Amino acid sequence: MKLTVSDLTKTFGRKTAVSHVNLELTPGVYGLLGPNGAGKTTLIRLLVDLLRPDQGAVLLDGKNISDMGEEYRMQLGYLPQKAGYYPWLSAEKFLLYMAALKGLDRADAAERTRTLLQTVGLYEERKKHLSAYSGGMLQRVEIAQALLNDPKILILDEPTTGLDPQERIRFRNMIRRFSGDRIILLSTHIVSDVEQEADQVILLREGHVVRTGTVQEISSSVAGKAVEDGTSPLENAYLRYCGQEAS
Amino acid sequence: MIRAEMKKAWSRPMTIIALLFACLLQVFYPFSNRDTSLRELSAEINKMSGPMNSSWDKTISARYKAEWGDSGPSDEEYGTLSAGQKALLYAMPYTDFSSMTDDLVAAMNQTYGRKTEQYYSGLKKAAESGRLIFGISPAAESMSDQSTVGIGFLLFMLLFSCSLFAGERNEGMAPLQATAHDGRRRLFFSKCLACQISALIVWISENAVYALTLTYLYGWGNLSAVCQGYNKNYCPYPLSEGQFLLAVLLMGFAASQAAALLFFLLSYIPAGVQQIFALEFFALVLPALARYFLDIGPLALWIPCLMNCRALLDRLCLLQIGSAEIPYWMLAVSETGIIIILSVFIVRFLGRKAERAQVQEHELNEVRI
Repeated sequence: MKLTVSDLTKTFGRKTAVSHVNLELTPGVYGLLGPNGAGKTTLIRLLVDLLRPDQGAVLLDGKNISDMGEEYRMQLGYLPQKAGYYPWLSAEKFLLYMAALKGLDRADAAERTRTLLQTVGLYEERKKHLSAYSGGMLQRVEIAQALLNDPKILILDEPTTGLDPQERIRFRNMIRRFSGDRIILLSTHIVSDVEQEADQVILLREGHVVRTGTVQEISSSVAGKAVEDGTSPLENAYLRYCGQEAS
Repeated sequence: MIRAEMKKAWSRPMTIIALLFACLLQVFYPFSNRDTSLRELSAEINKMSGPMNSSWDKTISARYKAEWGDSGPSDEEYGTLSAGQKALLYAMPYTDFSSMTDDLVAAMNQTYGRKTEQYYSGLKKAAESGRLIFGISPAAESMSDQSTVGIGFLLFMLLFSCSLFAGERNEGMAPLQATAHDGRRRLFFSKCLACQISALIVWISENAVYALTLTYLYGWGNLSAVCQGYNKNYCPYPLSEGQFLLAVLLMGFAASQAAALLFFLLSYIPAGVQQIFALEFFALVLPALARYFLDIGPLALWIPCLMNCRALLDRLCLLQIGSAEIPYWMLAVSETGIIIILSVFIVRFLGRKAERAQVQEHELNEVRI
């Protein structure tokens, strides 16, 4: 399985949010790092076919995802940056609804919902209305919904926002277990999440991919040039490529 | 998918509250307008039930004469009449009916032309063959006034449809839905069906509550009794009370489904909840309120107003605009045609284009930040 991003460009008015991005994603965990306004969310929305590119294409095994439609979405799990929910539904009902949207039959939906609620540690509170959930709990529900259809391509936009340290560890373990023959793209500004989980890192700045490589490759590319004291090697590289100093 | 949409929509507290409100209207309205003597009076009227032929005419006339002679009760007497006497007063005008149809046909022909002739000749034949039964069904007569059912239904749909698309966009569900396997075309049709089924549930619930209230207040009397006309010369229709109610309900059902579809289509226009609410209120609810409370004739043809079509059935199948007489069916076809064209436009162009523009605008804001 190969997700190819070919010369992808998207502009809004005069502002180019994503500019001539080329990537090849094969199974593995990818960390998408970049400052606010770098074009991460736009790139993700292009990857999940929420936006149509002005130029270029996203191809899954050579097929344009816009033409694939349902066939592509069947393999896709997506967690938006600001994911919605229905406050009057319980977590269980919400996941069952999302499972129906994802085309799961009732038995599968019930089974996956139960398993995922256990995985994200919300099984005991599954009957509570979502309006009574904390931000962290809601985020866990949203992560669960992204995994409902056992996606081959999982795209998570700021997945650890609102999670406490314990939940973040749980999330990382979950991603580790879930990876394998899947493409997982984590967009975040928390460098440590990427540092520990990602096989490959994509650094994005002003709509351009400024660097790709493994954590080690990127970290070593700026070795000995610490921007600030106390930063990890990848944070150091991030500041070099995407921070103010880069501009 | 439809089941999931239904479950989601009906687990929303606002949906249940709106349904309860719509149903409670069907209790409050008949109670606040109840005629306390109607149950007893209708029982007395139905004691005189029978085919409206010459022997029935003679029997009633004889009883009337025995009671009051040729002059009838005086105004002072009227307040002291028993239910049986009032029933006799009610029955008396029907004795003229058979003899009056010929004059009526001639008069109506002169005013309205051939369509009227067909209508009244049918009535005449029904009278001659003894198919017109004297009697009354107070509950059926009351229930054929569907104005509160219509208002309750439209208020429910107004609240329900705002949550279909605009509400979901507000809650940030659109990106989650659009990236799910069945989250686009299939979701659209599932929502549409869920909307129509919900409309059916509300309409049936309202009418069931209305029927129960009227059963409690008046009873159903004689459903095979000839239907008393409400407007044009107060002549009976060649229909029984039961048949007339069925016709009103069928028309109301069809109109409710068509109105629900209009609500659904308008809710698809990408705008905020408040804009959708205002648009639907002005386009669909306000004309119905104006029609029911101000009795504006031509508004009767606007789909949401057709839910209360008794007045429409009362009149002849012609709408007079100035000196021009336009058949209602022609107006209905034109109205449907316009709605179909608008629907296609909303779904094919406005909806998708603006939805995408909305995502883009969101992106642009993020980029600006």
